[in-house]
Amino acid sequence: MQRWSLPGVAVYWGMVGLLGGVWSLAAAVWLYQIYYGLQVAGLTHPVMWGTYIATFVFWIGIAHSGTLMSAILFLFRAHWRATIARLAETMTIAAIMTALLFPIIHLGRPWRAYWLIPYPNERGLWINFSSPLIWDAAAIGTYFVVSILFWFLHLIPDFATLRDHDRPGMRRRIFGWLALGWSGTAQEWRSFRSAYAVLAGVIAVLVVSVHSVVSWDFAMAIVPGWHSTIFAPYFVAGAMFSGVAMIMLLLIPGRELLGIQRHVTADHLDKLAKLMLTFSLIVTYAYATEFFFSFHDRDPFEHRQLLFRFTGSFAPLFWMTIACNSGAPLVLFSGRARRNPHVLLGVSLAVTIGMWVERFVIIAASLAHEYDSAAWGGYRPTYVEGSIVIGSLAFFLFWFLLIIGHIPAVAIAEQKEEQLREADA
Amino acid sequence: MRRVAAVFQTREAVLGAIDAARTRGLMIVTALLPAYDAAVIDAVGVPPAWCGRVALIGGIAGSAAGLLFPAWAVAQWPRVIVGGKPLLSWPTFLVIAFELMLLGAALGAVAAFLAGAWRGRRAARPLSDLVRSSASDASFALLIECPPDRAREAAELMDSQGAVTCRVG
Repeated sequence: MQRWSLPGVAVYWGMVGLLGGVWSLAAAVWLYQIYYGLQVAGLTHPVMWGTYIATFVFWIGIAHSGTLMSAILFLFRAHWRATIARLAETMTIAAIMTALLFPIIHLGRPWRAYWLIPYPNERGLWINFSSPLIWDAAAIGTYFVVSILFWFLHLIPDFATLRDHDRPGMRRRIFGWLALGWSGTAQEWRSFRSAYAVLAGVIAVLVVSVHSVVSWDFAMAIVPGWHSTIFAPYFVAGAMFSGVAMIMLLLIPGRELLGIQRHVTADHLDKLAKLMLTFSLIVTYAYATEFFFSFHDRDPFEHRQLLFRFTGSFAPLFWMTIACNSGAPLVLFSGRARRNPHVLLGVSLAVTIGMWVERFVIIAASLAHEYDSAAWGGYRPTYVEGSIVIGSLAFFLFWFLLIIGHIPAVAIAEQKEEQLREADA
Repeated sequence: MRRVAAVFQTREAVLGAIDAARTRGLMIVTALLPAYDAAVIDAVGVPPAWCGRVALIGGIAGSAAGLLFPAWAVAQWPRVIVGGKPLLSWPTFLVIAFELMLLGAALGAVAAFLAGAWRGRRAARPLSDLVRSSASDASFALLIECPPDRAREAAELMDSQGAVTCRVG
């Protein structure tokens, strides 16, 4: 049986406690915002969507890649997935929990958050089903449910292993309930594999559709800088890109913390680095296409928006995006860099920051510089938004660590399957 | 009828035991495996799972709900013009229908898994409970059914095939 352990229990609980403290402080800042209203954030005309919506899109992107990577690698029979699938799927659960906070934080009256759900007309809302924001509710709600099903289904055989082999006590009893009576009969395995394959197929399609819907929140508006048909594939590639970077950021220190260096080797990091490089090139191609068509179609508003990004008040952030997302990953063409955890950590951090800044620039720069020059404006986030964004990172890491510390960080049953396959070969 | 449960260390041993039991005319109830192993599952003779078909039904139901729910909600609207679009904007409902199709398919697959797994477990109990901890570690277990007068013969057969433990239930 594969066993996993938490070598530094004190370190682990110390980190969980620290992260819990940080997001509790951010929650206090949010309460302050609720009490005094959204005026304490930097949101004002013309930039009414700012840091919160950029962070929402960022976390949704992170959420997408975890499950998609696991599902795609399963469908393509990439056997090395066993080592990263659990971490990637758990990252998805934590990221989507974090993302779902932001539409609520963005509300002036969050106690009316349930109005976001497209229920029928009893409250006289007369829901506009032609709005991408309503599609968002259907798409993200579906994604959340299916991701949890995919993650939980994968865990059932591992819960059964822990039920039968963990030390007696409450933990073991809980694993027993979560195993849903799994006995490992041939019929159970056949049903399990069949359902898992269906869910993997569904997830692969769902990820593309959900992030396309998120991109349509912008692309279906006529705002210069948003109204583009390339947004859907561009957002999907960006989501994968940021997600692979976040997996790296979690995996490299997580190998030490969870004691799984034997399972997550330099080969796995090398493969992930190649994926990151591929997505970087796709995202760079999307940038180039967007710039080319902005110049080529001679729409003066699109043209002016692009020049504003190149040279205006958001220019440092714009060029930072290009440096982080298109420049930094180029070092991964070197095989030595791909196998060096320190280089990978640095590149992943640059990409993660770059992808957040990219969403921020797309949202804030476009809204700040629309059609009417008399209505142009700027946007400067306040400490309230900054605290809540940092708090969201702590909230994500808190739930990620809490969940991954109490379940097998590496899929036990899949590792055994791999061993059987190797013995067979 | 009586049941015999035998635990084996390797998949080759359990595959050999399945063949030997079949040759002697003993009925294979099921095998308990530590991981998914298509060769052993096929040797036991497990029929294909229903997950794909139930997912298809779930997908159809989900997409129908995704089209009909917005249409039903919009049909109650007062006469409001939204962006010049007709109230019953079927193309825009397709996005919701698509997402709910995927939700329905996923829920259908999981429901089929739960039903299939429950049926598999029920057929194997209660003897499977005695050997399942071996199978959830790294061993294989085989459950066979035979008339009471052949139980001893079945147990001896399992021993001869390399069983590390054998229980008669």
